[in-house]
Amino acid sequence: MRATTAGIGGPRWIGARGGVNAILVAVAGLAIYPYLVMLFGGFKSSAELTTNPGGPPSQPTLANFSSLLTGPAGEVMWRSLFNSLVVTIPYTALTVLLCAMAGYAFAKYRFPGRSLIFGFLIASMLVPIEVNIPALYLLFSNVGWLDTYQVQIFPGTASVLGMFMARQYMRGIPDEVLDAARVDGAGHWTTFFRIALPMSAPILGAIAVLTFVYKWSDYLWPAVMVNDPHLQPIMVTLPALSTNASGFIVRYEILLAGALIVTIPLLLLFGRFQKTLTSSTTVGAVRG
Amino acid sequence: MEVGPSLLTRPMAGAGSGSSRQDRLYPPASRRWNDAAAPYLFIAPFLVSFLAFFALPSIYSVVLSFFRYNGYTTEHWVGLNNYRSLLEAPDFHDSVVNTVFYLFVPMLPMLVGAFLLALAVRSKMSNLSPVYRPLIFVPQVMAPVAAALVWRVMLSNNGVLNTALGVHVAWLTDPAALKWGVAMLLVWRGLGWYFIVFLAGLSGVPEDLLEAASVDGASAGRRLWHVIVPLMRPTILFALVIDTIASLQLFTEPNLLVGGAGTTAGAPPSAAPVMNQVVTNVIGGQFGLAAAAGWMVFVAIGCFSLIQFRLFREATQ
Repeated sequence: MRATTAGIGGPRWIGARGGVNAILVAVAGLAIYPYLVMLFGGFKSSAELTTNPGGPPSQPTLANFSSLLTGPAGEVMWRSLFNSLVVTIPYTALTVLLCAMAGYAFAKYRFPGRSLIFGFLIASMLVPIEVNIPALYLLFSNVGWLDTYQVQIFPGTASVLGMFMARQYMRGIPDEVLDAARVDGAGHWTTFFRIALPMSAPILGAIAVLTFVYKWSDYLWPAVMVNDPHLQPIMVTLPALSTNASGFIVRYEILLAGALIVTIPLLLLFGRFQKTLTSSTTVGAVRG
Repeated sequence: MEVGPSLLTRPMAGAGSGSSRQDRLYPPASRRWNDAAAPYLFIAPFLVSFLAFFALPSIYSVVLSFFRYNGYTTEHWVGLNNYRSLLEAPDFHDSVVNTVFYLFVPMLPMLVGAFLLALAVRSKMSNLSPVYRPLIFVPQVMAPVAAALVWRVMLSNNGVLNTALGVHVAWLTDPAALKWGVAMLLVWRGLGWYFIVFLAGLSGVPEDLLEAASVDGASAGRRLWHVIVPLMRPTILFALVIDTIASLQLFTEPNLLVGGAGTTAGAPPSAAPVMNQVVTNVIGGQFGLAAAAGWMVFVAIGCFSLIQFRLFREATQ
């Protein structure tokens, strides 16, 4: 065993160490166990899920995936997955662009009203978006935006948290770099797009990943604003999918297969951008 | 391709006046305007989206909360009646009780557990710490909808939880048990998030300070209470406020876990959160009531956050 801090050692220390490690292993096991239930369950038959809900499948089957991805349920599934992408990708791109532009102005320009507007935006973070649902529902019903893609793409793109992240990062870009570009004849837009944006790639990537994960997983907003099954994202259609396929009995093995399908993109993102996603938890704690 | 004379002559425009290259590219008057307008143009798209989809609807929803309005006939001014009828409605009472439950019951295991786990990983007692970070965080990655569906299977009558505990609780149908199932789901999804928050906070506690305390003979408990906790104050407060905001806005987990997969019924009154008062009133065309319910959520968030700020300041000073 590796030597530890001087002055501590002996059997008591080793016992405590074993206990702590045992607890950590147990917690990590509990954390990933529902993933195993989902993974195993997606490959079980209905009968096996009833008798063996928690263990690995004794006779793995792909039947759940084929009934999810083909036939009438398949039509809904593919359509909803398509809707989720059609909504999530432009929403993410727009959010990153708006946050980068506004963050850049707050970080690199002095202008009348700057701290007033910035303070107002930060204070607005205390108001939950849900407060606005009744007003926005009325508004969108009047302009014919309910049951559309645009109602899923545009609202929420002014992410104050994202703007704040971009601004914090862009404050670190040296003024000399931007001045040099300007002296060379670059205008405000060129300086932003050619110099500031590429230099901020890490933070913009982080905002993009966070926004994508949030939007892909979002349920409340589309559940309220989009009633048309042809336009609903996968998170809204998924819970009802097995009913469409088989009448009144909820077939959980199919739902687990569906849950697995919608979770895979998120797990891939997590695998690739693990640091980004975990360090995002403390963004709000940073002082501005 | 023909090149027009203006394209050829433009770069030369200011050459005769002996001005700088910048002046040649941007005539002074328009450049000054450009410089002044640029920051506003950069924030304009953000502000348009913010005003249209957030700020103005917020103001409108305040106004709405004083009216009775079904969306197509005329509005009736009802003063505070929407708030009053919500406060008098048994369904609203239930939803407040449920939301307070979802705020406080998962809080203790989640925040204290996450804090202790972070301490354990940070301490030299574990030599596997890099492995635990992603493993403990990964429940947060599963979307709430998917997590609720998976937990429905785990909490079913013959599910793994009843088997593991050796009990026969109807987690998904017994009105007395519904909220506990939701609480377990919330702790499972949330623990890793706060674990990472506290881990980051702990990295701000200087190692030599702890060593100095330990050399001075301070026990592990005293080091925790007198050195680590005071230094972690901002992080703990941050975790409390974020947890409060998230809990009071809760919607997806209870409705999909105990509302019934395959239906759009939503959680029954014994488990429905306050946010259901907003959503069901919007769906039911009672926009004034819905707006009033939304603002009561906001007021609750404000009050709880303020109390936490004050309590916490007093407790640690």
